[in-house]
Amino acid sequence: MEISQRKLMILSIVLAVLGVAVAYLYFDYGYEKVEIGTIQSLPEGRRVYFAGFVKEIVIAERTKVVLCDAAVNCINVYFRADIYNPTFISKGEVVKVEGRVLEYMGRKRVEAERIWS
Amino acid sequence: MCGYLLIIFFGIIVGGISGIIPGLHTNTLASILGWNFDGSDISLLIIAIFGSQVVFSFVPAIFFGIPDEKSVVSVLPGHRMATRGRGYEALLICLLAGVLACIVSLLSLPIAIWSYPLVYSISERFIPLLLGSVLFLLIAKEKDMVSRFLCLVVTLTAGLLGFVVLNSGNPDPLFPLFCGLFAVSGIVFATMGNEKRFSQQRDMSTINFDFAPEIIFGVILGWLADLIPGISSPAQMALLGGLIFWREGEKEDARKYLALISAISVSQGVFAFASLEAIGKARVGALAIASEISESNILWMVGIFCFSFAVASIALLGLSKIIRRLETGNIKRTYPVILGYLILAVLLVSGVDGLIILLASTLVGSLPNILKTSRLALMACLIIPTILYYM
Repeated sequence: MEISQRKLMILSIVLAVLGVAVAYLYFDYGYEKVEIGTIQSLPEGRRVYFAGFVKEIVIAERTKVVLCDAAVNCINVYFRADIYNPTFISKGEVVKVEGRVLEYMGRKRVEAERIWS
Repeated sequence: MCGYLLIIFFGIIVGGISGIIPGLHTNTLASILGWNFDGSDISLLIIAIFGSQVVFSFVPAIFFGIPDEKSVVSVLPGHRMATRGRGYEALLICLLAGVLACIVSLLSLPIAIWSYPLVYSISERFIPLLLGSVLFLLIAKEKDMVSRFLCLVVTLTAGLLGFVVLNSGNPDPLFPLFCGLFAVSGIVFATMGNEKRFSQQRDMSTINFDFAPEIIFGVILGWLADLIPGISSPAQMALLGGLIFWREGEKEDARKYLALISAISVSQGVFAFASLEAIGKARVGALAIASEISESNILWMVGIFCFSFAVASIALLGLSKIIRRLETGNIKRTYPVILGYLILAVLLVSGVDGLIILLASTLVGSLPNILKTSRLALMACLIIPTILYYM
């Protein structure tokens, strides 16, 4: 079977489109899809306060946890490395979070600046 | 959105430049960016550089015989094809195999994410056995007992060199190691040998696509490369594949072997995202740095890697007119320039220690030519230290 340069270029374009589609599909991979309405409506940079229990610690040493309230409405909370202490919270523990709403790739999330039990 | 596109296209350009300039590795660029900047935009930039660099790194490997850790084994058949005026064909094979492998890997990503945690826990104990078997097969493949003994000598010497170099504390030991083993030693012997013509590269409007099995096998090896600790280099996997697919000097095998290496390099890049997500292990340095500084998970950036790879492939095809005109007449005239560049690059990247590594690895890299054994045995420089690490 012969493949021309034109076909190779078309295959590359198909790959580029596939890449964009996969980036879109996996953008929230591993995250809870449930988002709290108040977070959505808050403007970027606004400080927020949220209390709830930690449902999932996705990456032990890093930044991502999913925080839920009693009604199991969940948000994604990002801890900056300089404030994050791995021994401070554990899965299922009730914690309080204070932070800012930030917009990342067009989606609002909370960056935690302070957490406590 | 325009901002992100600008970052990605800037990354593709930087990746293209770093791919063409040997020694300017993605990990080096990622380290510099990671030290000085933070945030997901920089992660995005690093991933775009990574995708583009994979494509463009085949150019110096094929046309100038200068390897990096992804393309080191492709130097052998690729550069040989280039010296016979078939370099453009070699490049097209690498691109086609890379694009197809990228598509197959991307579609297999959910399987990889699912399978990595299952297989990872049991794979570690078999690493020394697996790598030892590869070396055994490599030596056993030689034609008679004398050749096997000589191949064993080269293997052990390269392994000792690799062990010393990797434990030397040099921040970037692989660049001088590979340059010495493959590029400089090759240049030295080519200079002493018969006059070679680096003929104008033959035009290729179509490629004979007869390497589908190699692409599939390359994707499987790429998946394994991200799974098995210690086999972080596609070159090690290519060595394993080479034992099955490649016999030095045979034209058709060289084409298929190039397709295999390209498929491994690309699929390892794709599956590295899956291994990071599924088992928290980043087998690619640039990806580890991008993950550390990202404010979010970076699994979705596998799509950016593939997009960057695809755009870089299109760009390289667009530059094909320049590549086809690549005519340097007597190849020997280019050797002092390449040699000078390599020495300078090693000095800048790895310091004075790097020059010592370069000299030692050039001497060891000359052994296969002197003893008339396979140069693939030189890959023991990575395999033996890995075996020792896991024993």
